[in-house]
Order: sequence, then structure tokens, then C-alpha cells
Amino acid sequence: MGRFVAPTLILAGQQLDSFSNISMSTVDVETGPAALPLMQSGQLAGVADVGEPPIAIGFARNIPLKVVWSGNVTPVTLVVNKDIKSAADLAGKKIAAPGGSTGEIFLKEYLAENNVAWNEIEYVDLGGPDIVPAYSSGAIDGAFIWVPQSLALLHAGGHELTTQPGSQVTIFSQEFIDQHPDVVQAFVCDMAQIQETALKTPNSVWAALAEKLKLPESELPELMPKDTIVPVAQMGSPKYLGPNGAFAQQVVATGEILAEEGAIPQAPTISEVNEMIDLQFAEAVTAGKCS
Amino acid sequence: MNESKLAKAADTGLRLQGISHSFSDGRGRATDVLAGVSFEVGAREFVSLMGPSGCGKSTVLGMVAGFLSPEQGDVRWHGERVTAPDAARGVVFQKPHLYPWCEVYDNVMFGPRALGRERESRDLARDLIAEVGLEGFERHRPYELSGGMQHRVALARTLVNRPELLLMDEPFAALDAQTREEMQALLLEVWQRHRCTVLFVTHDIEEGLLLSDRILVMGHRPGSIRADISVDFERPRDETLVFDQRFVDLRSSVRTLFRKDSS
Amino acid sequence: MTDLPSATPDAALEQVDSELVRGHRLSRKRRLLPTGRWGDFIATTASLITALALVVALWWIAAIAFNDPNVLPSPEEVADRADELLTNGGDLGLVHNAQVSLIRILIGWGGGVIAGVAVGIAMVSNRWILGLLDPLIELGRPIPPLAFAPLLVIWFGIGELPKYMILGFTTFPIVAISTVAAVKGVDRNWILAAQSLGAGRLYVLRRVTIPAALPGILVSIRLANGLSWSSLVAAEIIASTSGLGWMILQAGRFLDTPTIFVGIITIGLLAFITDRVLRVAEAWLVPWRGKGAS
Ligand SMILES: Nc1ncnc2c1ncn2[C@@H]1O[C@H](COP(=O)(O)OP(=O)(O)OP(=O)(O)O)[C@@H](O)[C@H]1O
Ligand SMILES: [Mg+2]
Repeated sequence: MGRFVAPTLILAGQQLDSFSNISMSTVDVETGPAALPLMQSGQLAGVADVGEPPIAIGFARNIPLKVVWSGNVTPVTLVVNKDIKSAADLAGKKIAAPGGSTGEIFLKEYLAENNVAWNEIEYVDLGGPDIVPAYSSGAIDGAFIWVPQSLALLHAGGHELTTQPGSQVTIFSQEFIDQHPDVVQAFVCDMAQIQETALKTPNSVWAALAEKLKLPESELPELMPKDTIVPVAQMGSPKYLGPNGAFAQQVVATGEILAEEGAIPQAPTISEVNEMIDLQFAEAVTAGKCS
Repeated sequence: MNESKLAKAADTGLRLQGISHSFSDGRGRATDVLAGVSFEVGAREFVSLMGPSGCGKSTVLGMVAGFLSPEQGDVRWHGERVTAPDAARGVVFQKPHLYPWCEVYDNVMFGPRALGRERESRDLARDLIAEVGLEGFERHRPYELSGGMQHRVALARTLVNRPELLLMDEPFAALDAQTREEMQALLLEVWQRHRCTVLFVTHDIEEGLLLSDRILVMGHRPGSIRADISVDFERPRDETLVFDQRFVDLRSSVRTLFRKDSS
Repeated sequence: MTDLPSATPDAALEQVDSELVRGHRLSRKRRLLPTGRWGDFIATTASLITALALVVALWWIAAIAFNDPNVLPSPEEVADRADELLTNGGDLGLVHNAQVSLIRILIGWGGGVIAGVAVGIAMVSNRWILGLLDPLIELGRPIPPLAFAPLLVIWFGIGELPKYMILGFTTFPIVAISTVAAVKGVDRNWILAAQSLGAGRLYVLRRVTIPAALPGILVSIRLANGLSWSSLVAAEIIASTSGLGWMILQAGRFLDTPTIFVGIITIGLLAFITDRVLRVAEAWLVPWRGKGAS
């Protein structure tokens, strides 16, 4: 059986162990791109909860992979200290984001939208776990980061400058899909079940998150209002994984930023991204094929 | 025993009184090495210390040099107790122990520089280097010299301080027979000119007889002085002395003494 | 051991060499290569080139066999990328990143070396310092410096300091321990000879102990240089946006395998070159090393 990676998987991660009908082992990786070499070498079947960069990189490096599922759209937040009131104040400040992550891409986009040049800020490449101590000790002035770190920063006195929806998708290698479509389908069915449960009874999710983040359960709904679990029925809509949809557009934008920097040779076009999205397993769920 | 010489030595020279010493091996076991060693060496006297291997000759010499203190008894030089090394008591070791990071000249000048007497010692250093036959090698490093040449540098390095007492621990033992003879002749020559007091440790009876005024014979460990033999061949001496009948006779009697002692 | 044949192969070679210099030359026919400094140089260079050619050839074959540049790019692809990165004069360029890393190494390694020698000498000069620091250094030595990374961010922030600290932590213990060993290993007779020639404590330290311990200390300084290059990636994991280690990490994120190779080869080359420079410095500072002097 292939191995499976969950980078920031909070929602499904703690419940993956309860998968009953397929045997799978999980590995934690910090960011999606870090898992790509493992997929390339065939050691990993797929990765859950990755953002757009791995899709763009996978395309540029000719790694045959497919996006088969989207779990949730998580808020990725630029949290900064009190001295920074607006984008203009970011100049000369130390802002962190995990290198190569959605956070870094969002930071670049945000600066470009607000006419702040990349060189004007002092970008700090820090891994998610290192961001919290760095912020608390005053070594950085802010970070563009997802939960739980964004919550910890808000708790440490930071405030939100902007929040972007970060898609969390599941990818599988083409080879694995060809060889074990049944396993992929079983996995997707389990994910669908988890998501439906979470949508119906959000309290069970808050409880699990509160324990993981060591925060009072009552604060969570307020801290994470924008966190949306993707309803299975809408997964193929333009809001999510649909052709030319929000996700596909963001992959193209990400690819263009990376290509411009020279990190990857070329960015995918929107139709090329559409090709990388394979919704057959999700459609099977809505068609009632999970038993 | 030569009573008159001993009496003279008391205040001017070297005096060892009731020296006993033991080494512990670090595991609480102690070995007695010296048991009541007493002797005196008069001013300008050349005395050889002989005895079987391991009897404590080097230990005695180290005490006179000030490298270690005896557990019992004391070493006095000019009536004063020896507690630390001093430039007045020069040492020539069995190996040259030259400093490879210094050229020959700088090795010889090590003592004068340490003593702050560099300026007034320059000429003497050059003279000594010439005297030991190493003119032209001043700027060589020790490892560019042969073993015998290194020994000659070591001798010059010690003599340049004009020590009143010269302590030599089997200085020529590691040399081949021919070089050893050359070095003995050189030592005799130099000594006749500089005339300091010498305490000379050797294994070689012939060497002892050729060089010394007296020979002190130590017994087996724990060592003490077993015999004090006067060697009064007239000076200046040279290598031909070994063919002298008196030399031959004295050599065989010392040999007999050694053999008796070791049985 | 002046008179005995030297036990180490190195010293034995030197002896053979010096015999040749002294004129007891081996018959010309039996010598395959010219001897002496030039001969050594030619021989070393020739063997180096052969080894490199062999590695490149095997690499090429393996690259063709794998046929996947994400896994193993061919030497040609790597050379192209190296060319590209060399001509890139900006922040992503090889020259810039090599410079940044070289400076980090010089400061981190240099700081570790200075601290190591100073602490080492303090340790042999004072029993209390030795008793206190020796176990601490021995305990701390096996801990990979990267393990300190999160702490270093908290203590020293995210600037250059934590990088110097990681490099310093890798170099300091080996230099300190070797300094202690080298000073303790100084032939006691050299010190006794100096004392009976009239040298005081400080004079013995300056003119005998330090020069005598120098060869041992210099070897550890060279080893430390190699170690500091091998912890470069670890040092540049924390909050870096430049340096060869960062370049490799960054390339890894984007599956840019040729750049990873360029980074690795550059680190290897720089480590090799700095080692050569140190060897020359060593030969100049301690020309007597291995000459069997005592
Ligand atoms: N530092 C030391 N620690 C322990 N034992 C020692 C030490 N130095 C000498 N000894 C012991 O003391 C005894 C006398 O040693 P010493 O070197 O004085 O003998 P020696 O008469 O000079 O011998 P040789 O003629 O072989 O040089 C030997 O048995 C030796 O093992
Ligand atoms: Mg001895």
C-alpha cells in the first residue's frame, strides 16, 4: 500500500488512524513541496491538504499527478504586530512565511497588490513551528501563515492584516491512481464521510481542534470564522475544483510567480491545470458509490 | 675514598645528603628507587655516576637539576637547597631535545634570550657553534642535521649560559661508536677550556674513566652509592689514554666491582 | 626519536624524500615520475584528474540509465545550470551565495577556532577550568548543532548570529579538545630543557609549549574547517534567504535537482580549496611537522 502524507492536516489527520477499510501509513511533512521528491521517487502515493505550489511545481517538473479532492479552504492570515497598521507599514519589517509555501505566495501577491516591492520588506524564511517563538521573541514583525500558527500569533498580541483562502487539496500520483483506483476511491469515500460529519456537527471539529491547539473550545468558532469545509456536492463548482475555478486560477497565479523568480522553468496555463484535476472519485461519491 | 677532596667540596660545590625517594605508580603502589644517596662534588670537578640500569641515576641527576624534589634528604648547591631548575645548573640530555621551530643559532641563543642576556651572549654563541664544528650551519633547522650534529648543538646551547654545574645524562649513549669518540674528545677539549663542575651519568666504564676525576658507582634499586673511585690520570687527556696500562688496569678493576655488585 | 626510522608512513616518505634531496638519488630509470615538489604536484594533480574523470563518467552513465532529470541530472545539465547561476549576478547567483557562505564559514569557524584555542589553553593552565569544562564539552560534542536551531532563534534571533553560532558550535569542541591534547602531549623534556636554560613560566609557554603544540592545533583547525562546511546546510536552514546551503534547500523545494548538484559541488570545492590553503599555511607555519624532531 502506498504511503500518505498530511502536512497541516488537522481535520482529517486525527481521524486518519480510524480508517478501517484501507491500510495506510502517514508521514508528516512541513509543506507540500517537501513531499514532491517523495512522490517522485514513488515512496508516497499522495499528499493530503496541500496548497497550490506543489501543483505548479509538479507540472513544471513533469511529475504525473492528479488533484482528486479538496478537504477545506483554510484561512491563511498575515498576522503582524501593533506597529504595522497597513500594507505601507510593512516596508523594512521582518515578515516570515515558510519558504515555497502558499503563505509566501500570498505574501508576494499582497505586496504586489499594495505596491510594496518584495525587496522593501525583509522576508524571513521560517518553518511553521519556528514562527511562533520567533514572533514572541520579537525576532520577526509578522508572518503569513495558516492555522494553528496564525492563531498563536493572534494570541501573542498580533492582529490580522489580511486573510486569503488557502485551498487544501489531496493529490495522488498518476501511477498510483492507475494501479490502485479502488484505494483512492476508498480514501475519498472516507474523506467525504468525515467532511459531512464535520459540516453537520461542527462542535466535534472544534473539540478536536481545541485539543490540538491547546485553546479554549469557545474561542475557536470566533477565531476561525472563514474556515470552510468543502461540501462534497459543490466540489466540482467554480468556487472549488471546477474547470477554470478558483483553485485552478490560483495555481496559475502561483505558477507565474514561481516562474518569474526562476524557481521553476514554466507556469501551467489554466487548461493545463484543468487537466490535472481529476474529479472522477468525487463524482462517484455524489453518485452514491460509497457503500 | 678521597678524603681531602670531599672536605673541599662541602661549601663550594654540590652536596647530596641522605636522599631517599620512591615513585608511586598511580594505583597506590610505591617503588623505592633511592635509599640514602649521599655524595659531594667539588668545584671544577668532573664526576661520573655509574650503575646498573634502573638504579636511579637519572633520578639523582633530575634532583640536582631541580626537576623533582627528593622525598627525604636534600640537594645543596653552594650550600643552598635546590628546589627548581636554574640556568646555573645546565643540563645535557640523552637526546638533544632541540627546538625544531628554531634554527641552530636560535636554539643556542634560547638560554641567553630567556635570561635577557641576548646582546652580551652573541659572540659566545657564535664561538661555541664554531667550537663544536658547526660554523655555517647557524641558519639550519635541527631536522636538517645529523644526530651527532644535533648533539653538538645541544652541548653549545647548554654551555652558552656558562653554567657552573654541567649535568649530563648519558649524552652520547645513542650515538655510533665513532661519533661518540668524537663527542668525548670535543667534551674534553671544551671542558678543559671552560672548566665547570660536571656530573656525568654513563653506562660506559671506558667513557667514565676517560673523562672523569672520580667515578661514583651506584648499586641496584633502591640505589645508593657503593663505591667512590678516584681517577687521577694527568690532564689534558685524549683518546690515546685508553692504551695506557694504568687505564687498562683500572678498567678491569672497575669491571670486577660491577660484576661483584650485580651478583 | 631522532635516530630511529620514523614509524608513520608520512614521516617515512619525508625521510625518503630528504634522502633524495641529500643526493643519494635512486637510479633515474626506476623513477616513474619526477620527484621533489614538482613531482608531488604532478602526481597529486594527475590522480585527482583521473578520479574526477572516473566519477563524471560513472555519473553520466547513471544519468542515462535513470533518464529522469528530477532524480539524477546529467553532468551536462548540471554544467549548464552552473553556467547559468554563475552568470546570474543577483541574489540567486552562485557567486553571491558562495560569498555569503564563505563569509559565514570564516566568521563561524574562525570564532570557533579562536574560542577553542583560548579555552583549550585555559583548560591546561588551570585544573579547575579543566575539571569544569572538560565534561561539559564532552557532553555537548555529540549533540548535532542543528538540534540547537530552535533555541538559537529564540536566543539570537534570525540574523547572521545564529548561523555563526551553529558553525561555531561545530568547530569549537574539536579545537578545544585537540588544543588540550596537543599541549598535554608536548614533550616534557623540551619544557625541562627550557627551564634549566633559564626560562620562566611565560617564556616557556610562549617559546616552547605553544610552538610545540602548534602542529596538533593546526590539524584540528583544518578538521574543523571541513566540519564547518559539512554543517553549512544546517546553519542555513534557519531563516536564510542566501548562502549555498539555502540555495540547496530552496532548490529542493522546487525539485530543481541540477541546482542541488551545483550547490553540493560548490560546497565540496570550497571545502577542498580552503583545506589546501590551510595546508599551505600549515607547511609554512610548522615546517618541522613530521620531520621526527625531538
Ligand atoms: N616518573 C616515574 N614514575 C615512576 N617510576 C619512575 C619514574 N621515573 C623513574 N622511575 C623508576 O625509577 C627507577 C630509576 O629510574 P632512573 O631513570 O633514575 O634509572 P637510571 O638509573 O637512569 O636507568 P637507566 O640507566 O636505564 O637510564 C626505575 O625503576 C624507574 O622505573
Ligand atoms: Mg637514566
